[in-house]
Amino acid sequence: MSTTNPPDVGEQSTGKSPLGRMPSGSVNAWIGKLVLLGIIDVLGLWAVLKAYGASWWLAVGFLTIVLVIANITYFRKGGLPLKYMLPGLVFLVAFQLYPAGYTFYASFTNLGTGHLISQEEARASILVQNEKPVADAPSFDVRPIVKGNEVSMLITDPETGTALIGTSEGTTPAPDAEFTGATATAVPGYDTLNLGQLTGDPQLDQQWRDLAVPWDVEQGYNLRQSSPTRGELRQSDFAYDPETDTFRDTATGAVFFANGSVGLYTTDTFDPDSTNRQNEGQFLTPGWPVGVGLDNYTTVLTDPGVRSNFMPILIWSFVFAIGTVLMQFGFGLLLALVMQDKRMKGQRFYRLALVLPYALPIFMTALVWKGMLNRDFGIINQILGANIDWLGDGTLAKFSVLLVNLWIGYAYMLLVVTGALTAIPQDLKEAAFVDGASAFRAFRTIVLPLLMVSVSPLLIASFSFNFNNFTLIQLLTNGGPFAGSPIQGGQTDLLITYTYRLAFGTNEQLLGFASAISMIIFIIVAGVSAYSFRLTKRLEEIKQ
Amino acid sequence: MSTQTPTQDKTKLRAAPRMSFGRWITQLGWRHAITIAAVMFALFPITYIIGVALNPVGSLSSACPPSKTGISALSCLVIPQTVSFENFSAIFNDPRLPYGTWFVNSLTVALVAAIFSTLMSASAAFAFSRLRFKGRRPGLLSLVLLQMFPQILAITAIFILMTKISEVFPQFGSGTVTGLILIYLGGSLGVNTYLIKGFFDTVPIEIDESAKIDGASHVRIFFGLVLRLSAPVMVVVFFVTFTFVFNELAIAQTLLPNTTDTTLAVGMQTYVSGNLQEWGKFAAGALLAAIPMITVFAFTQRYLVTGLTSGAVKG
Amino acid sequence: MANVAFEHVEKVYPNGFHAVQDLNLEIEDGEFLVLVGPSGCGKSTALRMIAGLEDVSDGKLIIGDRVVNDLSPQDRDIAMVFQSYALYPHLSVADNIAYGLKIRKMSKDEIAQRIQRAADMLELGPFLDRKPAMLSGGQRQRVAMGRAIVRDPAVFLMDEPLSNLDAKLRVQMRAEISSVVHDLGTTTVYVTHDQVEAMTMGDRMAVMKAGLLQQAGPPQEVYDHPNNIFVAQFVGSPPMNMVKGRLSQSGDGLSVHVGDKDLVIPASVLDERAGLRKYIGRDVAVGVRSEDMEDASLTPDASQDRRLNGTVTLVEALGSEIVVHFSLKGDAVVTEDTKLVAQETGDEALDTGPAGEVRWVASFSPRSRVRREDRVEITVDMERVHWFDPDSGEAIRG
Repeated sequence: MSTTNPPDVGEQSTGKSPLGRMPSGSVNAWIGKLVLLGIIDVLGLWAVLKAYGASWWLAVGFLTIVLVIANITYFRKGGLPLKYMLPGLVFLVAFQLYPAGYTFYASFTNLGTGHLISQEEARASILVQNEKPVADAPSFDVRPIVKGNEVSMLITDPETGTALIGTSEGTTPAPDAEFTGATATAVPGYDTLNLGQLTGDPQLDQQWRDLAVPWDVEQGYNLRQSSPTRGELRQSDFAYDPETDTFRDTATGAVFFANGSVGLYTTDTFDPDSTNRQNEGQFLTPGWPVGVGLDNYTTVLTDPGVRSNFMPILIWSFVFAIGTVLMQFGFGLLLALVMQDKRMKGQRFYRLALVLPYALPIFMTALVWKGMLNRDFGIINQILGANIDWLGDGTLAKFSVLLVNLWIGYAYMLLVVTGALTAIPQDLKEAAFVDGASAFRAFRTIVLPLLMVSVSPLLIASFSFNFNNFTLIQLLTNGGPFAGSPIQGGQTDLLITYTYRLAFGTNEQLLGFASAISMIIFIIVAGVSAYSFRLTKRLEEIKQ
Repeated sequence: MSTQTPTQDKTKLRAAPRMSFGRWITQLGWRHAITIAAVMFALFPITYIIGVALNPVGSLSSACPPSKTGISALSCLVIPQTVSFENFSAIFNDPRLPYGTWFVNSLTVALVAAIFSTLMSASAAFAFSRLRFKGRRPGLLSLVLLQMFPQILAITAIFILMTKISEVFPQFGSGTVTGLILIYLGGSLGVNTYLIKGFFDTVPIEIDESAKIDGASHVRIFFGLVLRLSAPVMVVVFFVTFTFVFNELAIAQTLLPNTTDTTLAVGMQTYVSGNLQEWGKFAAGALLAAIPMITVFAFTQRYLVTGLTSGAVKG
Repeated sequence: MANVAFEHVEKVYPNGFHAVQDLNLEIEDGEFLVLVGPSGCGKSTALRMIAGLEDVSDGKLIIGDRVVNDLSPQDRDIAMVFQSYALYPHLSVADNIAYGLKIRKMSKDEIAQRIQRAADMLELGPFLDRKPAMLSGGQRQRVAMGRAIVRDPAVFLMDEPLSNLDAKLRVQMRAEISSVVHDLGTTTVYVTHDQVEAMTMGDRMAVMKAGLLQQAGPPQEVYDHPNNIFVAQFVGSPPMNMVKGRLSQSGDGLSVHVGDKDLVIPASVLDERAGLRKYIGRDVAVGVRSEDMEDASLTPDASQDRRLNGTVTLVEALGSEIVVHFSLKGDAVVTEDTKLVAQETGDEALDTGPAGEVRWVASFSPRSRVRREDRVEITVDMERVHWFDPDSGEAIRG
């Protein structure tokens, strides 16, 4: 850069920067661009239409915006920065930013089992789930028929013997239906589906299963398929009143209203502070997700039961991450220093062998170690002639996990330290010796501080990585050994494996709660990193 | 790592007089001792797994009864009685646990994600390093912040998003390799862009300007000069992304939970979990699974040290 | 071949920094113009505007007969040599030189011919296959020159091309660049902060300060007739000595009181600088170049009314001359310009020293016998004294 340029030129400059006026390439490039954009536009339009068909407005909006921006960006002359950033930006927003934002949002909700679907879907679900066959109702002959992609039901009325076409809206007579015996089996304009066609197309099959034809609105009877050729009348235990948005238990008369604070239809005797079991019969499932404010966070930090699970896991996450970094770095540094003497023969072989663990997949090495450490048939116990439960005892498991992670990660540190050591000018060390420093003193006062300057960012990164080292823990111990139920966390559980189990690991998915812990992890890692980067800055100042 | 033994030192060595054994011990011997111990630590699990893979007997304990301990156990466990490739063929003939599918899936996902992520990150990094625009600094700051939020923390949201996507676009949703690639592409961009940008900044801007005066277009400057001159960091980013994706477990097992069509990281554990303790098959599969990573490592290790340190320090 | 013209050119960076203000400058076809000034003066910005690497905020920039404000660098028919040379590290010397020609899709034969010609001219023949990393600084400099030459552009632009070389090479390359460029007869704009390069290399020099053009002209003319204190001190080494003096009438003529002496201003000077009369009874800035002073003991004929007294603080015998630093009674001239120059050159002689004293530098004939801490009498060539307004810094002329 020219010295006359002020240091901070052009932060707020727009596309009119001098680089913005670079030539736009040859005719071939232009055609290539046209073809590529054409393909993207076609694909994009297809996607927008599909999303529109599914009423997924978020996707419609996102895809439309992306398409418009892409076409503007690549057809106009300026705007070079966006030309280079757009592809990455699209993926970043869709698959990193949006999930991160959603996690943040979800951490303030009760999203999870029983609160996964929208209120509207929950209403439908309550009705369907509580349907029972109507006693003494006649059995129906039905056939799945399809027009376009819409599945309807061809019904033979058992009382009149006439044919009807049933949809979720209701029934219409089908006088031109064709009968096989007394059963209507086909109707012009529709294709009748057989069993093979249904099982061959999951989407049609799902439509068929979901199809509820209102039969007797007064009674709340729905006609549903019970097999591809049989239908039955069903009636829900609950009647929904759209005007008051309430459900009424047709048997007991109990009224359930939409309770926005818990995301459930509840009676007015429902007590939000009691457990589900105590509230038995006071609410209907499923519910829908609602905001719960800071509840998830306060539960983690103050609920005695949760906290007694959470705190040991938090502490172990720190011990594991810091311990791993220190051990890997220490061992890597030791080996790098030991092999620093150039007179040593066989360096090529040594280094190759020592670096090998870094080049192996973790899912391989973690599981190999899991086998080797097995109490009953593991090679380590067999060689020792012992019966040590390496992974079954809390303390031993923690030790084993650290040992295995040392094996997995020291080679990376060896590589990094070796590189950083060679980058330290030889004359600095020589100067220290000339000044009369011992080898150790020269190392401690000259080499180590300089080394730390270049490797500490990597150590910080390594800390963040290991704080979230899901793969190793999941494969080696799965978080265990467990003292109580897995939901309470195991002895080697990291916050991330614990979170994962809360979200997916058991029958009850606590997605909102898991999201809150994710946010806590984020805050911890970001905080530790920011703090250490400030320390690193200070280290760099020492260097100057 | 062979770069550490320059040839001129060998000639120096030859010229030097032989040192006495005592001196050798104090100066070099102990170094060899420590290094050899470390090498044994490093290679032990690897030789063990090779032994298991080549051992035709499914269960290890039957070949080496628990009564054997110490060295005899070691030798019997590590050195197979009869060498057989039974395990290797077995893993390709089990339709319930289709190793071949896993392997192809893993390789595809890792290669495609690594290549595209590296390219997309590099082009974003080019904008951040070379172009001036509104929002450049906030953009960089958000990248740094995003690095602290690995996708695994958002796994719930990803799961919900992908479930929704599979309803509308079954080709790209949960249960598809394509969907998994899309997720990984989004996740690795933040880290990579920042790393690459740091390296691009060390390529003097005058080179771009000179090329521009010489008549080069921005595309040519990007691909022909900046990318070319940043080969070390591109290689490192490719390697790191490839390794990360190849090893990734949490997202993969959430999106591809079905063992008939999943990745190696998810599939491999099924050999040795629950009632199934097929260590022979596992070992065979693990050895084959190591090949892609070792290959990529062998091609990139030359650049790894410089790339890793320089990129990180600049960042 | 083409001329280059700035017409009311302005450059304001987006952060508000006004790098170039109302620049009007015409560079003739085939002329070698050196743009010189301290760092931050806008000279590089001006050059980069010609190159198309910076936008022109306002005004017109003309190359040949085209206004090039909105033309991209490649369409301006220019070649540039960068301070850092900006060689492509992954390409051989030959490929570096050929890069621009290949992009322009020149035929292979033509490229080979041009490379050969440039290599001959710059003695690069043996290095054509090497990578830049294997070359010495001077060789890299030549490659950068070669890359510019083969393009056969209308204008050469050079941005401090010698500042990364050691002193000896710099002298050598200075001559070489001058001769190559003059042989080719290509219009050249050369930016430097080194006034020696400015003096020796160009047909004309243009001195800039803080975004403003101070003076443009042939080097000797600028040296002899600086427009203001800034130019006077920036051009020439050591910088021109300055002191405040009070003008008074003495007989028909004028005299100036400096320290404890009265110096009479010759009538010829007054004819030329009639404006001096307006300063009677007021302070003026008196500027004397070191070579316009001599040890009075070697010039016994010189009259008393052109002598100054000083105390020697340092003597540097250079063989051909003796550089004498001495302190002189009198008030220092302190303006923004003198401060800027002092900062730029880092020259202690320009430090103000104790109040009521200024530090001057004179070059005496080698026959002088002065020593450190001597009281010394100095003869001043009054015909060649420079006169400036002490507040505005402008030269006092007609």
